[in-house]
Amino acid sequence: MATPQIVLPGEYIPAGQIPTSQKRRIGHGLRPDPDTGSFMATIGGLLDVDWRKKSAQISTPNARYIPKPGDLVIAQFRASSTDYFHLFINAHSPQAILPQLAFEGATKKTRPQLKANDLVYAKVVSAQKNMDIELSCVNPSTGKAEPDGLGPLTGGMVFDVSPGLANRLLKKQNVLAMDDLGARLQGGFEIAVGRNGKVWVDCPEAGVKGICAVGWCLRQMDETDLGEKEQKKLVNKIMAEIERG
Amino acid sequence: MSNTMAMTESPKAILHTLVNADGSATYTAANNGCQIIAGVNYPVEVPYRSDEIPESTFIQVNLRPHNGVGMVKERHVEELIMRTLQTVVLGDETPRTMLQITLQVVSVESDESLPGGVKGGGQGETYLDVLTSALNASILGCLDAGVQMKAVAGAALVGISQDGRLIAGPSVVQRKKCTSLHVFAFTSDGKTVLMESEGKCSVGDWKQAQQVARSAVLGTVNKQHNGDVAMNGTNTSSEYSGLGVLDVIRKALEARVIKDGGQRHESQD
Repeated sequence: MATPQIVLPGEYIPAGQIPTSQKRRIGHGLRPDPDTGSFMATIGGLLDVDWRKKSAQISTPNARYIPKPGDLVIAQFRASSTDYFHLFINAHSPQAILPQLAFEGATKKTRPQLKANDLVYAKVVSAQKNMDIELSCVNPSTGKAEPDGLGPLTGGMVFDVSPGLANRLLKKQNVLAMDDLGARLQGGFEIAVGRNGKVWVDCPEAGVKGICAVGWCLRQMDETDLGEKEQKKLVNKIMAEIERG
Repeated sequence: MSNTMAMTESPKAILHTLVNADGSATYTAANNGCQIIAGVNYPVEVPYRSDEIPESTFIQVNLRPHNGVGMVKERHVEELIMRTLQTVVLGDETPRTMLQITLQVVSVESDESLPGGVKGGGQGETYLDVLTSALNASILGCLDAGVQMKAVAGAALVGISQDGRLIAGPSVVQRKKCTSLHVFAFTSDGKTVLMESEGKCSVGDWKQAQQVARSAVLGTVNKQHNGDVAMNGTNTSSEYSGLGVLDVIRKALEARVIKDGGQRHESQD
């Protein structure tokens, strides 16, 4: 695993530090220099190189979320037309469309009925400038909702977090408090994380109280950068508050 | 060379000081000088269709002074920042969108030792100190917002006093006694992207001021570019022995990102 390296815009990254495979995936913030084969950073942040996945990108913790194909998002239902659901991702991206048949097991006769403001956990299929974003709730190769658990989200509550925290939750980086809280809340909780900075939480057994505890924990983690110990402390505090009522 | 003057304190920069903006930063000039908060929104829709640039990003800069409302001076500084950013930002990456930068002057340097007190940034005062901090703050804000840039840039203020000494980052009292003030901005690869001057000076002085500003901006980043400063530097009263502006920018980014890096390690254990 590469050690974290911080780059500033304009810095050159030698070709040796970037995977060279034909199938490599060069992400955001790296611009190839055709003469030397090296790369120039165009944004500041952590150089993120994954040799196993042959990918390289510069990660920025708090820049605005821009939908990219392959991202998991939580979208809100707005309107319906003959073949599509029209969904809202966030205030600054265009409306998203979701084909009504892009659900697991959906046919012309049995397709999900969505009501206004219903939530859907979906994957971005295509996102281009000045065009509607296309979403899907099935894995195109299997026709199933797994492994991401896509589909309508019922019950629960949604919390807004920063895109950086959403990313961390998806990668399970330094979100110990979530595991901890899950173990201590009665019956655990269910969570769906959207790259667009939305987190859906449901707590069937502990009820609204449990959901609020998770939401509170998320907000605290977002506002202050907590280490491992501080997160444990935070969970203790939240659990104590809940028991008090 | 005497570095004993109290000039060596470095500027301060913190990233992500506002919660709801896409990117933000607070920049404080050396010795608690002009402090500016920058809020950056990027990429956003262009409010007026006529402002849209088909192949590039429209840059809008708003500067608000520490008291009162922005007037001609602020408009001028906004224009200078906008033009400087245009040379640094890779606008073609997000065509037909807008990069909106809002700068708020939080505090200006004041000195009560003189009768009535001296304050920087008033309507009768020079705008160059505000320009320096505002440009550095906007670059930091853009960095935080993940704006694609060719390079990072930094600006420095240099004053030439009556006896011909060059002062990097002069204080408000020192500025009063300077015959001319100069602002230079450089990118990390050593190119000059902005120069603004005020007052009377010779071309030789101006060139020396540029060298002093270069070392104040680049610091330890690009030694080969400021190698000749040491030779000219005999009559500069205060060489920046501390960090250059670009070092400060780098430190600010490290402070913001290393936390995440630390988290990465923790999670892998």
